[in-house]
Amino acid sequence: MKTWDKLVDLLTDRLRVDPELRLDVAEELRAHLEDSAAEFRQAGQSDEEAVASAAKALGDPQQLADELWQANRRRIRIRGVLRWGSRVALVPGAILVILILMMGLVEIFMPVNKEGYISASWLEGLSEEQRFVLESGSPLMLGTEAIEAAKSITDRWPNNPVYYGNYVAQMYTWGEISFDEQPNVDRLKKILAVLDKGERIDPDNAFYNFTKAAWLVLASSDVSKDTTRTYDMVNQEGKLHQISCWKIEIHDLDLFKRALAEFKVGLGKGEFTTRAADMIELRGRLLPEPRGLQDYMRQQTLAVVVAIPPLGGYKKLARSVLAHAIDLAVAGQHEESVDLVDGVELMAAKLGSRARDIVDLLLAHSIRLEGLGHAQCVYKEMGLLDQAQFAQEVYSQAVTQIRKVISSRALIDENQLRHAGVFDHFVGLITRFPPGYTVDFEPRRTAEQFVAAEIGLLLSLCLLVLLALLLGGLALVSLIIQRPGNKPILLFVGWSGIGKICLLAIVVPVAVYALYAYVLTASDRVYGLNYTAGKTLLEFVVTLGAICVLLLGLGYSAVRRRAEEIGLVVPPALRLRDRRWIACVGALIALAVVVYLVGWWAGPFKPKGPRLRQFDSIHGAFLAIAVVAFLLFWGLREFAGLYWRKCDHFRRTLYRSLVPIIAAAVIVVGIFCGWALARGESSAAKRITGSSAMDFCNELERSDFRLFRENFIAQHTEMMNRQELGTRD
Amino acid sequence: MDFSKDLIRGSIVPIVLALLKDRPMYGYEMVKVVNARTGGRLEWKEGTLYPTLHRLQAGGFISARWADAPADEAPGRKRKYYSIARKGRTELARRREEWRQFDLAVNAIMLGGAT
Repeated sequence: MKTWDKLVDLLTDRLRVDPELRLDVAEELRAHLEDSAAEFRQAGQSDEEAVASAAKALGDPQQLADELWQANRRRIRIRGVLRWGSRVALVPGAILVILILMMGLVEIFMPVNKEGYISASWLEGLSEEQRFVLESGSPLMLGTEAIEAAKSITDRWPNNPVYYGNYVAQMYTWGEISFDEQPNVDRLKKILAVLDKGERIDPDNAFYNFTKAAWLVLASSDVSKDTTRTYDMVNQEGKLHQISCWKIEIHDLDLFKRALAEFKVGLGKGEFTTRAADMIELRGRLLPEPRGLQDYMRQQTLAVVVAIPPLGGYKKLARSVLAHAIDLAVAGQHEESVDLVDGVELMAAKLGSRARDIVDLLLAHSIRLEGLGHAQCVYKEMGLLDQAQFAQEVYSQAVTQIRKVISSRALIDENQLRHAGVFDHFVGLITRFPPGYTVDFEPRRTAEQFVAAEIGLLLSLCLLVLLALLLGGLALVSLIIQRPGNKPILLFVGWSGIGKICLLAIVVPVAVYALYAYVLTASDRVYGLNYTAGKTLLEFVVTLGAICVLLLGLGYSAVRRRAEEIGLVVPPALRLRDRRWIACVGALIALAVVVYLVGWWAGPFKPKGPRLRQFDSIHGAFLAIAVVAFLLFWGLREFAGLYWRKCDHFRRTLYRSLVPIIAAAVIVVGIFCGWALARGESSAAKRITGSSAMDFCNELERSDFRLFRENFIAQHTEMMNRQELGTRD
Repeated sequence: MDFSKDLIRGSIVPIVLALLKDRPMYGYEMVKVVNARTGGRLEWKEGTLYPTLHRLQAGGFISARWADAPADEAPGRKRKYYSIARKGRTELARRREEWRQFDLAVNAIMLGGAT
């Protein structure tokens, strides 16, 4: 080949601005001269004569060099622009795509500031009042700020009982008023003024009367356990238990009498509610369809973050009233004593019948039980042993009933939880899924799966961009330190080459995975990520591994072929014979993956329960590690030839030429897959109707606890009717 | 008989397209085929072919790919084969028609044919 170097260099010298094209033309001319010289040799010429004849037959070198330059000038200019574009635009473009994808995901994991919590789009089309309600609900508002926000709404719309209830609840929550200490006169006055105003705004709600009564009791008396007086309870096993009654020590009789008066006023009112659930519903109705999972989660938090006044004060009120009832029974004031005991039961029924959540319902039960227990003591003091016995039986029945329900709450339906998804899984663990609780987990679960795929995509693309930057960095160093003839060349593998790489390395694996995951549903998307985490990780790793292997393998082959064409020394292509045992190991791992996935899908490999915390789908994770290890090994073995000394120039050229291929792949995959996944997530988020485990407002409606509330409603109706009849008589 | 340089230069594009019409060829092969088919009357300066091939390739009339030379001819060597593209076939048809018309017109004058 050296024979022609001088001539070929002369012919292609003007093409040196495009090293790849120059090498390509040079190689073509060399091949021509070789063929030509071989023919002259066949005609009987000596080597020297044949070389000279071939060179002469080619024509005038100066004229040919000029014609070659003229013929390729336009091509050189276009290729120069493309090369410049690929250097300047592709890698930054890939980084930009990653940043856009990252911004879409970051909101889920990053804290949101107060200003950004409520998206501007949520407020579109809302009236001033609606905006007020929504904007004041930021869960990031704390302390005085939260109270001020609640106050501003009730100041603007002073006759709305829900807004005022919210204001009072915020004052409780942030310690402006709370049951934790005995109030002095000024503080009591201030608190009673707030509650009096509430009573004027919400006259049919016993909340303000009972709360006032609770405060007055706190200010006027102390209650403690009376170990000398007990009532009986027979448990589920038929064993008799004795429970101490409460005793009261009154410091300020006038205040205590005011407390009893408020208590009795409250008993005559139609309902007893903190209005917290009403506020949640109000906010929930104002929120638009979520555009994604993060929108949904923020909306959910916004909807449920409503202050609920501490209900312990009512328990203390009930205990004080019951202890006082016993004192009255001992003092012979039987009728008043029975009225107070009945009053406590009515208060419990009032709270239970309007309960929207389990906390309210359990508090109502607890107050009722204390009422029934103390009723035993009151009737015993009055000598009405049959009544006392009856109260004890009702008490025991109520205890058995509630214990049965509470113990069954611990029995989480594992089958149901498998379908829940991570979000509902953890929230479900908090609320323990009340028995009979049914909910459609599909939209939330699907949205989560899309988010997981988005995270997988983002990590994969980050990995590819890091690889491109690493290769680009190595190529740049070579460009700086190498001599002109050894500098890496940016090879163009041709549009069809790029098309083939994109199709085989990206479109096919992504399409196969999409088919597997979303069309054939073989990936068991009916289960949540809390159950399928390991398996999903394996799926992502296999898909990403396939993309990386194909992208690097095909990219390497294309660049190698091109480099060979232009005369660079390239490592030999691995033959199947050399790959045989690597292929065998790969096939074994692939077989294990397929067996695992099929076994998972068909049933036998499914874990017993969703145990995300313990990462129970450990087999999937192990297989994922095996796949990664194999691919790394494959890569090292496959590309080992690159490190031959004679292939140095090719290695540097490969590094440089792979950068635009990888960057282009990242841009294509990022745009199309990112768009498709975001669309899927948005579509799933829009299908979410209401909420599930966090559905405070429907907690009772959706579970077997509603039966208890129905009992309270019936009891309340009956007691109110009786009271009405009594009043008429 | 030697043809004028301008005549050869003007005919090189339709000849290359016509050669590639049936099968892909490499540069040296085209030179040999032309010399053989014309009995040496249309003897190209070999080098002049390559600028034309490159111009046609840049214009999308032909495409090129590297492939191994047949083992019995030049073992272990690679050659650049050119193939005609769809645009090249259209151009060839146009050039043929143009040549026919030109031929008729020139014949009518030079050889005294029908007017």
